[in-house]
Amino acid sequence: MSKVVFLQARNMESETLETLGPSDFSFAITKVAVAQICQTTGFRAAQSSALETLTRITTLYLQTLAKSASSRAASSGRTQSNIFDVVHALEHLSSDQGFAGASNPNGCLLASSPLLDLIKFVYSRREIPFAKPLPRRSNLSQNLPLPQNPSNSKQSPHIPTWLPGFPDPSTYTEPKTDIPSGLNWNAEVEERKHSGNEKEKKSRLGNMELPKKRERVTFRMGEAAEAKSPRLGFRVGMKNGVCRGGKRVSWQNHNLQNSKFKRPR
Amino acid sequence: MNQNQGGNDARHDDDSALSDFLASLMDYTPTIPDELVEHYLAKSGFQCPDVRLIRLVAVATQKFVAEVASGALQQCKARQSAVVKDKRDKQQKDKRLILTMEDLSKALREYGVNVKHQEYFADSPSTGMDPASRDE
Repeated sequence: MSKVVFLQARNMESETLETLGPSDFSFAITKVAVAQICQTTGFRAAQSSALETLTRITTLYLQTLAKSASSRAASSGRTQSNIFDVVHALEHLSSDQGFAGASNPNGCLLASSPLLDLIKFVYSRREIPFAKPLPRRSNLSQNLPLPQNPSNSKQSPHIPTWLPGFPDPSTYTEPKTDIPSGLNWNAEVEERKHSGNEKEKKSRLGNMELPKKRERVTFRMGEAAEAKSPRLGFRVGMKNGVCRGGKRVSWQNHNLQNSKFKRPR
Repeated sequence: MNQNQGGNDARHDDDSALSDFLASLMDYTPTIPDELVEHYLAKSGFQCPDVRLIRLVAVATQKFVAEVASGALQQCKARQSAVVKDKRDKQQKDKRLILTMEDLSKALREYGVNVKHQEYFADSPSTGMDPASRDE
């Protein structure tokens, strides 16, 4: 319950500001601004916990306004918000307290009472500029330019350039495959021929990409394994067709043949 | 015709009032600096090239905080006027209006924000108990 005098908040050493992390930094700046607002309201001091709580609520209010406005813009099919989105967000946040004209959905947005109250507030108040000079951020932004993707701008102008580029098309366009969906234990798996060249495979594997045509994997359930030269498969310990207890999966050098699913009787 | 013109005039008035206001916003410096507001707006996905809208959001937040602070101030003053016994005490307390968690939570409750606050923290489970009943 230590009291914090507002003068101390304003005279905060700039060094302490610089040593903070990015989220703490913005929080500290907001705390100074909130302390200034409280001082003009008439308070002489504040409990540190109360000031921090109010700062937290201020940041939440800002973010809620922004999210509400941007979601309203997005639902109208726009990426950039305009004045109407902001006024809607203001009305949305003032609906808890209530305002004149809240019951009229057809009222003109530019004459909505939260906006008018805001106008009156601005005209009636004196300016309270921020106490501390903020360190210039322009140097940082020059050092880290946003990576621009030229391929995006040419082929797809609707995609912003700051998004990462599309991957190589060969990785996601495949010849038609018929992979059985999901874990269909009862499906019969047919053997596929390996048609790819050896060199192609090596080059693809060298690039850390999965080959498109891979060996099929069969799952054979049951204790009695087929002795017919199996090529590739797994065995799951089962009794009477139900997986019980020990779920040991063993790798057997089975051959891929017309391996029908068989249940032990 | 007259009604339509009246309606259009009203809208023009609103538009002009708003554009005047937005122009005056550029002269007014909100307490919350623009860079900070831009940081939080970018964090929330708000994209807008217009600087006046950023100022509008900053001013709206400032108004909100000022309202909450004035509500807390009223709570503080109401509590002081109830407690006052001597005139000297009241004058001394007026100079030291302190923002406390109690006043803040009462003021925030009007805005739908519930702030619960611990009354105190105890060092051990036997703090505050009778010394005779404490285990030794």
